[in-house]
Amino acid sequence: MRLPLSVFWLSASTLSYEIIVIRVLARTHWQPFVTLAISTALLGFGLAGTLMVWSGAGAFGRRGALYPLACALAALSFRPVVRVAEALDLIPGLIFSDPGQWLSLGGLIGVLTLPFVFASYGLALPLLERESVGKFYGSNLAGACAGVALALGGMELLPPQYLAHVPSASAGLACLLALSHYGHRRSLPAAAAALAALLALPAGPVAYGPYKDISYALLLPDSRTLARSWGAAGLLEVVGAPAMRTAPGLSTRFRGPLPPQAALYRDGDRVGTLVLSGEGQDAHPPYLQWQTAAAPYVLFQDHPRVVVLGFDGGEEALRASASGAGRVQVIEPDAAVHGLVRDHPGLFPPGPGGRPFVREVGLVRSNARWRLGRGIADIVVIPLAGNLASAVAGFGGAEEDYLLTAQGLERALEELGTDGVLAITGWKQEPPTGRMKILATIGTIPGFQEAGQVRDKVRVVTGWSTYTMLVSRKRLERGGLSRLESFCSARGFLLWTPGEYGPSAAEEGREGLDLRPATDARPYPWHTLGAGLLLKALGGEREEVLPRMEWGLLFLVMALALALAFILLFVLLTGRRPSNRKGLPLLVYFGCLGVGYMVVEILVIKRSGLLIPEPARAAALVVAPFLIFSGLGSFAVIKVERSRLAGAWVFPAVALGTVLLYLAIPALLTAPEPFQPFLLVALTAPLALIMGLPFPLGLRVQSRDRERFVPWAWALSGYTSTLGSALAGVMAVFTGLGALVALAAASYLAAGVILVATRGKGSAL
Amino acid sequence: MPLPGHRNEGWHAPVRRVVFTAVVLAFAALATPAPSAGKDPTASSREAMVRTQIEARGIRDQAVLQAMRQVPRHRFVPEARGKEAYGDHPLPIGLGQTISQPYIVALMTELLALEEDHKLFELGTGSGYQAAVASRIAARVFTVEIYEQLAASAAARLRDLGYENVAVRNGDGYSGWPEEAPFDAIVVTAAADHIPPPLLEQLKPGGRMVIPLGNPFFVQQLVLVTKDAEGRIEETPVIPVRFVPLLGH
Repeated sequence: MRLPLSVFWLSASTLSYEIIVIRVLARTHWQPFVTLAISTALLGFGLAGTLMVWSGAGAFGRRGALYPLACALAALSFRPVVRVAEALDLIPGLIFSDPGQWLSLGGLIGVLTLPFVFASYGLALPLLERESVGKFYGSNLAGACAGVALALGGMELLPPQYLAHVPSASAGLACLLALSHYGHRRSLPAAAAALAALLALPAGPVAYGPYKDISYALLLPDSRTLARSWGAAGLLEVVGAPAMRTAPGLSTRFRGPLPPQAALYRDGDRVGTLVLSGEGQDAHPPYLQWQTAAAPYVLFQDHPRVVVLGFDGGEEALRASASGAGRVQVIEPDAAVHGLVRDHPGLFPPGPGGRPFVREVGLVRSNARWRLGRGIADIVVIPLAGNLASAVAGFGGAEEDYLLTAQGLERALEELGTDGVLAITGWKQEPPTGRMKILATIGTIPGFQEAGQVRDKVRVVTGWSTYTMLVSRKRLERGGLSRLESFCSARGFLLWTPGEYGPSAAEEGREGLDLRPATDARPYPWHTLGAGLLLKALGGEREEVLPRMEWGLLFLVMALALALAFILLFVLLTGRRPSNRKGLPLLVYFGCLGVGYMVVEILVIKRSGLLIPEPARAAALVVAPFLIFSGLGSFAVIKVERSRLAGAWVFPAVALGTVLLYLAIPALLTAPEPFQPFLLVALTAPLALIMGLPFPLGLRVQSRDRERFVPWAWALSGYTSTLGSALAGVMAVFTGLGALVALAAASYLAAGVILVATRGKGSAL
Repeated sequence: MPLPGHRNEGWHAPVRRVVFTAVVLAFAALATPAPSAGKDPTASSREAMVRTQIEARGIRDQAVLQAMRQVPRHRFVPEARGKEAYGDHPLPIGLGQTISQPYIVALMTELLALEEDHKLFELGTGSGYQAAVASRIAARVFTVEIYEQLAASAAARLRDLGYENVAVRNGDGYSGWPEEAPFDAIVVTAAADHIPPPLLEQLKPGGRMVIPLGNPFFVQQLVLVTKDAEGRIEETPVIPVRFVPLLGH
């Protein structure tokens, strides 16, 4: 029983580490980058399989020593690896000019992969015991489930710098159990002492990459961290300093000081501004009326009801309050934000009722996509902070944002009364790609599709560095327009009517920019870099592209190239095992499975963003059921194989299931919000169950030379899964999620054809 | 003052070359060569930089080109990065800051339209390179750096290299340098989300300001701001750029 328990804890450590890597990447280098985290995990599995292929049957014979060693190395590596990843000086903006940056990037991927290599090498060893494979497989799956729970629990409860303790402790426990099982009792006290020492070592402060927004703030003279809160969505910190002054798009005609401010950071990226409370300070700082974001309020003469989508430190709610709003509601899904406001009310200035104004506005914990369309507001605000968080440092291009898609904007418009206005504030750009993409998206919404409707209902207030787009449900009236003109004239802003001047989206498209409307099927409103321009940059013509490079996309392309290189290298070094006529078909078969499985998994994670906006939580809630139910499904392989069609039905069933799941996820938005994660798991389970069958079906085609064949298939599957996850990330941005459905279906159908054909050649079954 | 190594160009032995380089560097560090360093081992790198990176991209102002030829950029980058100093890219200088790509420095200087009697204010000293280049054209340069460490090293470097018309101050540049205002030109060398009102007030009528304006954490627009005789402000977008954020933003 001790060995299955050990496998349970080792598997738990692997899964918890995979989810924690998402947090580490977010804090040290970029926004939650699920695809890359999963790629590094799978690369580790591939490398571990390669090690096993090379070590051959001998490894199985020495498993009594190798398995505890793998557990110990995993336990020891988690914390230093996270520290090294945090310390690597990776500057994306210099990657084309500084060769050292390529080394840093390679080092980052390599270092994060290392614990996966140790852990997956350990996990593969017991699976070679054919007699007990079911027992170990079950432990592995239960451990994976526990790992997800541990990671999610750890993210909610533990300070972020202690997160790496979770996989360390799990793998350490696995090591102790393994030592006990294999009779290394004399080593137990020393191992237990080492584990205790490892966990007792102080974690040190939270580390950020040197180019993260918060790193600059913390270096300011007299800067102080005023508040801190954490959860699955990340680490929130409020940092204040006397020199901190921000006022995006402030009119050059504004005269006067800015009030004391602090900034709100999520995982080190700035998400908003806090106007700090202070004695003798104006409750409604005048500068708020001198930014483009103040424009929607001039359209209303009485007290408008305002809904702000996303907590930006409270600046937008304060502006609404200062502009005479009758009721202000802020919709924010992140529990950590609510905790921050609850625990630190003294940071915020008092509202009309004398309490901190954030206590006087309605702060609602909810996903905006679910919540919208249920009330009647006069103004719905998508603040600059929301845009800023998504577009940080060029990483936003490859991230899903379901609020600025055609369907998301339609929901926001449904929240409005007949005279209501949707106000979207963004950064000014030349060419104005972001603005044009939003306009193109609005042009696809019913009520805006006919000629002239956008011109009649939309105006853009353009300032010195920001714009605010006003989207009205009905034609803008003369009185409101006149007040808007006066507002702009007093501040030196321009009032722009769409279509008046400037290039069209189609014209910019010809310049290599991707300005196609964002939809729920292609939810990338921050992606504007056309594929041609990306290829140009990779080909050496970078000057034109560099300022608007989408680094997240670039890293995905590099992960794709890396995975291809590893596959080629692996095939060249290990040959086509088994070395008979089934070799090539099985190579293609396992390749199709690796790509197909990961494309489905990434597709479901991306689609789940509609329901669960926090990437780490969405990934955990998809990866865990996939592993568990696929594992359970694989137990049924013999029964399925002996059925009438010998499992041939599995492949079209996966293809069909993928299509159905893709179509079903948006429908979950109609369910009560607390039930959505459970319904998502319930919907995913049947598909994951049948997706567990093809891998063992393939293994059973080759019954001899098992000690060499299983690791070979394990490694190949790891590499092609890395390829699949990176490919899914790149394709989703350029071709949309629908193309992923097609690719997944094609991969599984091709695998099915190969399996049937290979069996026809004379199966060993 | 020509550097003493010029006559030794014929040496071939690698060891001698290393020794020679060390001697040259030691001399360069100890001596206070005039900013117009004349013939030195890096002059050809600077000439190539000016020809291929700056003139080729359309910078025509002879004063700017001459200043770029004169200022020893390699002295403004970390020692370990010395070989990359004349490359066509920015370089890290520590504390999350960078020294801008040579072309951007030249472009910003050209946009300022500096004249011999001009007084320039710079927000964000960094390594001091932009101030050094501008000081070859303008009469006085006043530069403020919020990082104490960078301000101290830039001040020492500019002093050692003989840039006597540059004044460096450690502090918050958002408020400008009121004692020396008004300025004929102002340059902001970090990304800003708005134009600091105190800087607009300290810009002379007819003056010019160059500032990277926009999302401080992504792409900004390099903007030329002009103030006419009546104090009206006009902005002209120039090119998209990426600067590190202006501290305080």
